Amino acid sequence: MATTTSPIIEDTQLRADIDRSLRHPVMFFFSSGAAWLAVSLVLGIIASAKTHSPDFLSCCACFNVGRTMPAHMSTLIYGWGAQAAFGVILWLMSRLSRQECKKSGVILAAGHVWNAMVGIGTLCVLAGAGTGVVWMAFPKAIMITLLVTYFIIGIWAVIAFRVRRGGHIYISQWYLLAALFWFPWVLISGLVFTQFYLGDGHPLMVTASTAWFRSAFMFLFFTPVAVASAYYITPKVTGRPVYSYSLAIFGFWALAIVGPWAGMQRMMGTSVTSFITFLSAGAAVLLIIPAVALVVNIIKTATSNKEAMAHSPSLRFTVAGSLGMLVFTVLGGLISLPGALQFTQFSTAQYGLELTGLLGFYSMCMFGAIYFIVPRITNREWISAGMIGQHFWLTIYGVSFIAVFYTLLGGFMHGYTLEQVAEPVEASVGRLYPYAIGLTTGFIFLLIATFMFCVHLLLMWLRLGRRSNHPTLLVGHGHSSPHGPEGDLDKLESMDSNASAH
Amino acid sequence: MTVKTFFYGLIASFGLPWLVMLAVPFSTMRSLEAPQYDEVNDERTDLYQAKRSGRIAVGSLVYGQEGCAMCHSQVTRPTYAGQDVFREGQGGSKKDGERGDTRRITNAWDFAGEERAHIGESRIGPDLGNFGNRLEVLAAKENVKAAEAMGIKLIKEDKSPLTRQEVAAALGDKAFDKELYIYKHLYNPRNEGFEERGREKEWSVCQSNAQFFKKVGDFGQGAKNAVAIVCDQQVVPNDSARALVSYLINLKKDGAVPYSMQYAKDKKKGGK
Amino acid sequence: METNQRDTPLRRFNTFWWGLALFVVFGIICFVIKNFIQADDVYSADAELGKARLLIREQVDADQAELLDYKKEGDSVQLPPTALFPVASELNIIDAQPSDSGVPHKKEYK
Repeated sequence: MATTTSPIIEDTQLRADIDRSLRHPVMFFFSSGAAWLAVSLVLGIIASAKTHSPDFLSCCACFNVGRTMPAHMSTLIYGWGAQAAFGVILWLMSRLSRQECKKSGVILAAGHVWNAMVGIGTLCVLAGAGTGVVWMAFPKAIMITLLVTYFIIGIWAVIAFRVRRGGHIYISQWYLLAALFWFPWVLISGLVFTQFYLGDGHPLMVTASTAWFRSAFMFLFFTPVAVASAYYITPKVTGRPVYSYSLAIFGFWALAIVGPWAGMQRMMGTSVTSFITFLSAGAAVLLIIPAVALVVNIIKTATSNKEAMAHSPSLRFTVAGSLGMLVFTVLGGLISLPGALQFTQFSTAQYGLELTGLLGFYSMCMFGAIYFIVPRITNREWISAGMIGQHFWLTIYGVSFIAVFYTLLGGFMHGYTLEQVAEPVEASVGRLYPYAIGLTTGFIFLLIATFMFCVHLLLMWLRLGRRSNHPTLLVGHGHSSPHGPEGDLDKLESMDSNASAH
Repeated sequence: MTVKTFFYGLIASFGLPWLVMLAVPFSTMRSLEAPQYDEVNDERTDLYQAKRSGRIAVGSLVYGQEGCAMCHSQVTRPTYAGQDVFREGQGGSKKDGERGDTRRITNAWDFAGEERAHIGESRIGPDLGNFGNRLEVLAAKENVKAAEAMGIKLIKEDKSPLTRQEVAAALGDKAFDKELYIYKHLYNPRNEGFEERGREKEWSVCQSNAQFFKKVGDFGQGAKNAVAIVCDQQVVPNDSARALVSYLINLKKDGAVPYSMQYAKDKKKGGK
Repeated sequence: METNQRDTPLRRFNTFWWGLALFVVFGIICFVIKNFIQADDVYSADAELGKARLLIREQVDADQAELLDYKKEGDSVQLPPTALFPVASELNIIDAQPSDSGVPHKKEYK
């Protein structure tokens, strides 16, 4: 045994320490987030079913579209989206800054408060006590508590960055740092301008602030977290450096500069100051630039190791998510062009676009991160490659259905019928019918996929994963593997001891 | 890039759009004055401001909380942004009996008295910006039908026709009950045999809004605003419903605007 | 592992409070804007409509005050009612106590 440990072993030890220190909070965020995703999809199915079969579940008023739709979005954003982000931010920042987390207990407690608030808020919305503000349907007191809880969770990641072991600052760290500050800026602005100025503010500007808030939340919190995860997973799994660091930095500043301008295009034609609606429409198109920067970097890095693409679930989800960002921004730009906005402003396109972004881009990147992180913090491997494969393909089916059929086709067809002013209203209701069914179908695919994911994650949380040196890959390794012989660790150890005994 | 430049860049890249898109328009629009009618050009001197207070303002809150804005919009866009103004009944009526062509786009004073403008998320259901006006047209039509059935003369002695209010007054209790009409739609939107504009409403995908109703015992002559009898109990609207209905009846965003706001080349004076 | 010279309690403490301050910086700016920027200019339609009503009220008050003012008409003098209140009891025009009117009660409670 050497008296001085080598740097590689020290580094591995540090990484293990970081993972162990973060086990409880991060696993908690991921598991509860996944559960909220399932809840959100169930609520989404109910809301969407009500638009083509209004008598579905008509026993209770709490299932009405006006309640389940805000509840669905709120649980998707604050239950799943925010918690997945917290887990990824904490783990990623700690790993990249090489800092153990010393406040896991505080973070875990804050996480429980966050979940409680989301739960109470959702019940309030379903009971009709929501605010009616899109993406901020929880009552004010709950939103403020969420904000305070966020401080308690997020500040430790900022501290970890500040006291990082010196050297290179990774591109993911820049994105995460930006997301950590953008979140409270956007949320505070959203709350103040849409919920606390009332009585003072002009009603149209209050609504416009809500429109800005949603877009800013998507592009300035969810997007940088997903991109940070992509820029970490891809080089890690492929073993190659990021294709171009300067392109990545360019993509970051493109997002930072263009992102906050978007959102007001939903107010086109209303009597707010009209230049802000056109500026936002332009910004929505320009957001394709950071998406292209991401996709070029990720695809170039990933294809430099084609085996990893086929084998690694994390990489597969991450690459799909990056392509999802391109699809999301292209769709967003397309439907925000003033000529197209005429048709899409009040059609299915807007909601479909939000789903494409949240589920097709953000969630895919988060799934990739979760499939990477969970084995490291639980010291177990995923149980079933088949389940992971099913999760991947069903999610792709569901999201593609929503993006192509509901958002693009439905958005323009429904919107076109709305613009035929000689036609009565029921023509557009009739036109909407197949697309509404399509949305419900897409959600059902996603729910099945999420259910499998939740079960898988729950088993990992219960420490029932495989104990193995081999990561769970989508394609089995050949006989020669860098990880040694395949098989359960306990059995291998007992085989070893049997062999050495003889 | 150092951490310091990063933060300066972040604050600047966020701060500028925040100012330009959010803070400045918000604080400027707080002081948006309502136009005054001009005594010479408009023949009146009051303020061009929608009046929305009391139960109607509460109705606006109920409308938001119940998520009506998820499926209904309340805006008639200018022609560069959509064809809304040409849809009959949305921006106003092409031939509204006594008032002529009342179609116009929505302006900034149409949402006065509300905390937030319920612009709407999507048009799964019809636009409700001028629902109040459409309801008045329907009420007038129904009242005329009822008056003719009852044999009431619709032309006065000096050969001028009765106004809407006069027809309704002549009918008394039998006049079209606007509130009951809306209560019935809220309770059962797909009321079979329930006609609107000559077509039955089975196509409606609005769900039954049972949260607006409560059941009370069925006794005496029954409540005037009961919408149904279910298991020997009357279904009557609750306070939220009454507020919402007050708000819906008040939804009118049409008619002439003050002379100072008209932009047509051939703008007319003396509009009301 | 070489010690991390950046990781000191002071640095952590500093970062905590600076981070918090930076988190809420836009909230503080919002607060400043709300209360100090163009705060006096906030337009209230009710206040504007109120001004018209107040004009009418002032007119009514002025007209009424004119009608009730001190006037001498020949031998008699018109006084505003408030002039009599201090001397009402001396002139015995206002009774200090209620007194029996002399008409018996007719109500019967059964």
